Amino acid sequence: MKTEMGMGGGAWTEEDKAMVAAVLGTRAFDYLMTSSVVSENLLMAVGSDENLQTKLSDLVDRPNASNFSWNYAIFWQISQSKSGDWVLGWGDGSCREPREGEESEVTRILNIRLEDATQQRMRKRVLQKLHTLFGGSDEDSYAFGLDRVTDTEMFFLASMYFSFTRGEGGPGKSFGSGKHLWLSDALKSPSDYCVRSFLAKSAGIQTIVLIPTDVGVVELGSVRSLPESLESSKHSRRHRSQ
Amino acid sequence: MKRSNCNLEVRLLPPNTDYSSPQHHHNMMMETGRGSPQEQQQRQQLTIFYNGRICVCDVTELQARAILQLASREMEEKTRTPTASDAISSSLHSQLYSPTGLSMKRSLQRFLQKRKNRMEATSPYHR
Repeated sequence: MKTEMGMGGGAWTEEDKAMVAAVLGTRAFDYLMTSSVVSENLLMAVGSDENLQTKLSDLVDRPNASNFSWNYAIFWQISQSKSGDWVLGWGDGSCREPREGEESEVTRILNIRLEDATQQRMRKRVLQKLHTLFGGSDEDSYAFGLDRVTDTEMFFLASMYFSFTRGEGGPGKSFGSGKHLWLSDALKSPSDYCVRSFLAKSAGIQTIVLIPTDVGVVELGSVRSLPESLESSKHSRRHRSQ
Repeated sequence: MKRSNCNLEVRLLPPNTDYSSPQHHHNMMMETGRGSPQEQQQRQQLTIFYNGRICVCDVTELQARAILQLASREMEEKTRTPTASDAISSSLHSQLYSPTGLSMKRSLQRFLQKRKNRMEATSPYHR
């Protein structure tokens, strides 16, 4: 594929593209490069909810009575163009590192690696490239200021640069169908819940939930494998509807 | 270095300028000191504002004209019909000012602040 990214930080060399594909996964890379979302004419369908950030943070940072909380919570916000097409874009989100003992033993063993300087450098460069590609300024540049980028952080930060129209990606499918998705074994599942699956798997996410609402889609993830139970559904529903 | 009393002024016109009009010629002419050829070869200070950057340099009149020509050529190229990849990158580029772009900025700021707080809390220097 020969898309030349001419603006927003200079042309991407073949080496750049290979690096981004290696870090994000090829599906995510292809998706970003061919994404034809035109955002100039997008109107916010609804105003933003001041409580949204608090709710998303609570889902992540405030364990419930069973000492459970999600590892990440993302709200994909709906926007609508004048022609009536909708698109889901980054609305808000929160994430945290897995606590000790939270990850599956398999993940823990797989993730034991010595500080991999090359991978860290590549992650920062990829984030920087995405930042400039999406019009970020040098002043707002953050990637090289991070001491290191964890697996969870890479998934979370890269997610910000994604948007989905009808039927595209996990959120797009969820919003389009109006159906929620509860995946308990994302690590083992052969199918991808989204173009971002590679990154989610790298972060050890075992449970992924997508809940469509009137104004967007809530995406939740946990490094624990959680069956869809009444209790965990209640936990997320309660936070959502407040 | 002895500086002459006159300023070198160059003006770059927008792409829809009518190049054939006499007024254009007037604008494109640079105001330099009238004087002997030696004086015209003299370097004068040129301040260039371009693409969000400022550059100050000492140039001769000839060099200034060359810079002007290069810049206007680049401007012409930028106004040609955008290709599909231009459209993609420009649409992505403009996301910064869209609602999504602002949401991203806000989330990023909160993320970085939270991270900073966490690191300060666990730092050995924290009391």
